[in-house]
Amino acid sequence: MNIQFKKGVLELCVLSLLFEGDRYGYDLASSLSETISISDGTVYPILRRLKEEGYVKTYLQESTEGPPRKYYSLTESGRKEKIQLHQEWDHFVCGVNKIIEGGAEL
Amino acid sequence: MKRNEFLNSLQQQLADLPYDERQDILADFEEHFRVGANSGKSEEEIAEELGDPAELAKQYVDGRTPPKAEGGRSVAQGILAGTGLLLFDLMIGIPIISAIIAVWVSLWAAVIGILAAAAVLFVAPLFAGMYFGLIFASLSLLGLSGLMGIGMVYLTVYLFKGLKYYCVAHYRIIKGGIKR
Repeated sequence: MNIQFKKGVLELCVLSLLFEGDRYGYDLASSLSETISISDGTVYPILRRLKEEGYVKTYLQESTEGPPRKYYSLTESGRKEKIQLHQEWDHFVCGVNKIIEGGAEL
Repeated sequence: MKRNEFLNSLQQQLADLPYDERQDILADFEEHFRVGANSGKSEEEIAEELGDPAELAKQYVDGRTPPKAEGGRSVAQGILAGTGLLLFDLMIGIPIISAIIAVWVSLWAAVIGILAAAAVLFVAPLFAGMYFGLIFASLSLLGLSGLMGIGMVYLTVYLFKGLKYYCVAHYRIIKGGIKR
């Protein structure tokens, strides 16, 4: 798959997971890799990029097992970005489906 | 792959990044190994699931603007280099090149001269009567000029290559490290 495209889709996935609530890295990585087959490590470069772009912020939170964990949470612009990307995605998938299912009529 | 092996490999691949950023990235993966171990996975399993460190490092490095290209000189440095080069050219470069070009011109002149002599000897029988010796002399001079001519064509090619290289070298010295 085209790398840029994949990057964009994975960003949307991470933003969507965080949209529902804050999570730490390992949790995000396993949720993603369970559902779509990507390696766990892929999530960290994406998280870093999202943080640099100001869509995500991090904080440390104590855990019952061992040292504190780094939690990721969406910023206000991150929430807006998620909604925007989600719409774009729906629109795109809808168009692709039209082409796949009835290419001859177009 | 064990935990340390993975982290070392990743660290090496991230060598181009600033220290703080690299440590920050490594901390994320250390935490990942820690949490993974807590949930009962082996180091090998976790590393396997994380993926190839080189591939991961690329994703960190690729998204960044590359560091400013090395080389390129300031105007002042360019002028300084240019002045030095001018002196070099005046004292050494130009005299040597002039001498080489003079030899080159005279060799071409010799080729043309021998060819002319061959032509004269060829038409000489018309005036001086039929001497086979003249014809043979003419043909051998023709052969000689041909051979020399071939040699000169090669020499010319090399000469121009050399001159071109000389000019390119000048450009490089003045502009600094130009990357091709």
